[in-house]
Amino acid sequence: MSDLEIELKDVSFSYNGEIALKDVTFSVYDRDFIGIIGPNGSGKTTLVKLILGMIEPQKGTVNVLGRKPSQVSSSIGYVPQNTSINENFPITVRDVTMMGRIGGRREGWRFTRKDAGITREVLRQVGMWENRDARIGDLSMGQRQRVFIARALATDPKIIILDEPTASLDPPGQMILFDVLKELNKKLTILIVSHNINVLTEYVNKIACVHRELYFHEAPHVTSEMLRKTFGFSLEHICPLEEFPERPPVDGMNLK
Amino acid sequence: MPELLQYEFIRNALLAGLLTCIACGLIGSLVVVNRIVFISGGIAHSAFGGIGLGVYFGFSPLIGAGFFSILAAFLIGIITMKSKHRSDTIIGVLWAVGMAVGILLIDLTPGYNVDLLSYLFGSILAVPVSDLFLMLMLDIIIILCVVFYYKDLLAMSYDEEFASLRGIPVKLLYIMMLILVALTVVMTIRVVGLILVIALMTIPTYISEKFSSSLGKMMFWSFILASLFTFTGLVISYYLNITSGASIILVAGICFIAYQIKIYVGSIDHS
Repeated sequence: MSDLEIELKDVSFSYNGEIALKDVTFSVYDRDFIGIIGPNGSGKTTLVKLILGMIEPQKGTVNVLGRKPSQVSSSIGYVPQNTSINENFPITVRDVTMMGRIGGRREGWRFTRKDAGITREVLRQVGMWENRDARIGDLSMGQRQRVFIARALATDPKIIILDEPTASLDPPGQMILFDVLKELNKKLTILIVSHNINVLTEYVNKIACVHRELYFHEAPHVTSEMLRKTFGFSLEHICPLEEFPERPPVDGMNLK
Repeated sequence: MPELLQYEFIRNALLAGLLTCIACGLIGSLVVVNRIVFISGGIAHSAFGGIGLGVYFGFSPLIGAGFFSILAAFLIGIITMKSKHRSDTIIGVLWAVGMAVGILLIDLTPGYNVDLLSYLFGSILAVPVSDLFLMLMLDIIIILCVVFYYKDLLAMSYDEEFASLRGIPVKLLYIMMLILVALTVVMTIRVVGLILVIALMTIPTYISEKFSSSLGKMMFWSFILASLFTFTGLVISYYLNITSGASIILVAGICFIAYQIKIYVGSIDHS
């Protein structure tokens, strides 16, 4: 068994009395590739915020790399859902990525040669080095998404978390994204929040369905039981379920 | 044109314009990308309270303006952090109250003989050498702060959430930026007056943002454009004998409109 990286025990969280997550227990191991699915408002984002240490659980414990999340936030690369913030901002792909190098100890006022080297490295990993001098606003959604992944990688993380990265991508863009992630998964643990069950199940090794409670499946399949509990209805007619292995997945189908 | 440079007050005016444009290019760029034009307007106008204070108590109005605008920067910074949704209203109140305090204090000053218009619309042709030194010092402070905190300012301006996840003290940096805005305002009051400060900080930067690929380049080109507008406006105001501040802003405004039309025509051609 590989190393335990993220551990949630009996975690509950509510916003002003409204329960967002209830008694969630959830473990993530080194080099897991986990898909987190669930309908809108099901607590997916709350789960991510808890792991990032942006909020504290009201009940239960969250441990990341054996410590409190807020102490290890620099070991988690976070790729936000909205990458079209400040689209007109005069900033190049390289400068956005370089931002990931901020925050080291004994940091000077300028980036170092090492920072520049790491930036080049991570931009190559996501296939965006050729576009390094392009303005971020001139890129397609998919390209921009990959730049934000590069920025997360530049922080030298052990884990990366992506929030709805496929939401605004066309099917070819999603394929490129997942191929990049699959490559990264050889070295990193990846958590990906998504509506898109079909693409997910092809790549991830474990699936967590969230709907206030969390149903975990140690295989890249969604059971109809999990779907019924999370979405309130069965989706076997469009999903590659264990029970219906002969049904092919429908490309680019979004469950909203 | 060369005969213009014989006069010391013209040389001083050109120098004052140049020094101001350095600050406007650097800080104006931050103002535009952070979308704090309205906040900067609030800081500029509340500075008038300080001018009134200086006139009333008989010290330099520019020092009063500096004191008031830095105070306003602090207040606005704290208010924007605490109540994001109503901060624009509060900025509007500070804006108006600052102006009112200034006008009342000038009213109350016995033997009133202050040229009110020179603070509202600038008096670049009457800049004394001592002010040039003050401007130079403020420029040095502004340049040092921007160069030293460039990457942090860039990260905060582009993606505040990420910047704060990376451990940048975003709130402190934001207040520092507002104080730099206040310093720029004090300098610019001399050149175009507090009513027109915002135009000189935003028009050159807005245009240069369109063709710059980085914040640094945007700052540089904003400085070049602002200087161009200032010199052209100054020369026109000399020959036509009109108010220099207004003339500078009108030159900038005409270029702004021309540039907008050019972009619009370009977008029609492409579609």
